Amino acid sequence: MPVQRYVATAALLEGLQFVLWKEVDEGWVRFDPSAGQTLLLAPISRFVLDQLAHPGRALSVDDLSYAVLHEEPDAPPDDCRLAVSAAVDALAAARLIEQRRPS
Amino acid sequence: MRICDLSPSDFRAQLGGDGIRLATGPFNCRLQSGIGEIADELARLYAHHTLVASSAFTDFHIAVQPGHGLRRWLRPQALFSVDSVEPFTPLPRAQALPMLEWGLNWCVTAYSQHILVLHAAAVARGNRAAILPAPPGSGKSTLCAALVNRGWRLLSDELTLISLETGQVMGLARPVNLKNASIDIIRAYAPDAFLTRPVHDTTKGTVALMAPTAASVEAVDTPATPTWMILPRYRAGTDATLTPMGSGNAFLQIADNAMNYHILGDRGFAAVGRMVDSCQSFGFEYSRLDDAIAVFDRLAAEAESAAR
Repeated sequence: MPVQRYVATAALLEGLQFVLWKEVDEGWVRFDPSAGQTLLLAPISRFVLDQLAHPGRALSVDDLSYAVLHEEPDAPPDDCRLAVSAAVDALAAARLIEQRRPS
Repeated sequence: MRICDLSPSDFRAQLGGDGIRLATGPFNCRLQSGIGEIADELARLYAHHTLVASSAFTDFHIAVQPGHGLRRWLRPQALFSVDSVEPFTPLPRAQALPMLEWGLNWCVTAYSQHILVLHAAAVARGNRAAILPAPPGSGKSTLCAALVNRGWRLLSDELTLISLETGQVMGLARPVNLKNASIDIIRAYAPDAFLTRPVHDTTKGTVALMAPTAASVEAVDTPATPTWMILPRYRAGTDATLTPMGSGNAFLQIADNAMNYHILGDRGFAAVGRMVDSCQSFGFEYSRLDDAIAVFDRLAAEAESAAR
C-alpha cells in the first residue's frame, strides 16, 4: 500500500503572506483575512502546518514525526506519531492541507 | 441639559416634531416618532442622557412612525427608518419601543466600522470592565441588569464597543433588554429600577426595557479597561462557579461574538488579541443572582487589592 503524503491546499498557499498569528495559552491563533478564517492550533499543529506550507512539498505522517523528533529528540516516538496524526487530521478538516492526489 | 430636564409635553412635542437629539456614548442620535404612546416610557428610559444641539453632528437619524394608509387603523403598524431608509419590515405598533431599540442596535452594528463591536454585555467597577459575550438565552442580560442594580456601572447590555486605538471599552449606557422570565426576576430583584411595560408576542418573546442607572449614564464617556471576559450561562440549581478559560478559547469566543471582526481584518485581530492579553477569562455558571454578584464583587476586590 503506497504511503499517504500530504500537501498544502491552494487556499493555504494563496493566503500565506497575509496570515496573522498570535501565541495563546493553548498554542496559536491563526487568522487568514483573505479566507475570513480564525483557527486555534495546538503547537504541534502549527509545526506540521509550517512543514507543509511550501509549494510542492509532500510529507507523510512518518516524515512529519521524524521532523518533530529532530526538534524534540526526547519525545516518545509513539506519542509523537499519534500527535502528528491528530494534527494532520485537524489541518485536513480545516482544509489547510490535503492528501496528495496521484499524478 | 438632560432629557429629564424637559417637561413631558416638551419631550412629546419634540419627539413628534423635529426629533429628540441625544448622546449615547460615542454616538449622537436623533429620534423621531409620531407614535405618542411610546413617549413617556422613552423619556424615562433615556432620562439621564444628554441632549445635544441641533447643530452637532448626528450619527443616526432614526424614526419609528405609524403605518401608512389603512394600516394606521387596521392592525396598526410601526415602521422603523434610519436616514429615511426602511431596512426592516414593519412590526405591530405595540412593538414600537423595542423596535426603536433594536433598530438603534442595528445602526451601531451596521455603521460602526471604526470600532470593534461585540455582541456582549459589559459592566464596570471603577475603571475595570467585565465583558459578557453569550448567545441568547444564556442569562446575560439578566445578570447584567442585576449587576448594574448592585453597584456595577452599565457600559452596554447588547453591544460592547472596543476602541481600536486604545483597546478600551466605550460606554453606551442604553436600556437593558429583558426577555420573558427575566422581566419578573429583575422587577423583584431591583424594585426601584424603571422597567417599561412588557411587550408580548415579539420575535424574542415578551420583552421589557430597563433604564440604565443615572450613575452609568453620567459616566458614559469614561472608558474602562477590559479586565475580565466572562461567558455566563444560567443553569437552574447550580452554584455560582467560575471556570478559567485559556486565552485561545477566549479569543475564539470574542471573535465569534464580534459583529465586524472579519471586516476589520488585521485591526480586528489585533483588537481581539489585545483584549485576551488584558483579560482574565472564565466560563461562569450561576443560578442565584446574589451568588453571581458575590463572585463578580470578589473578582473586583481581588483586582483592586492586587493593584495596591
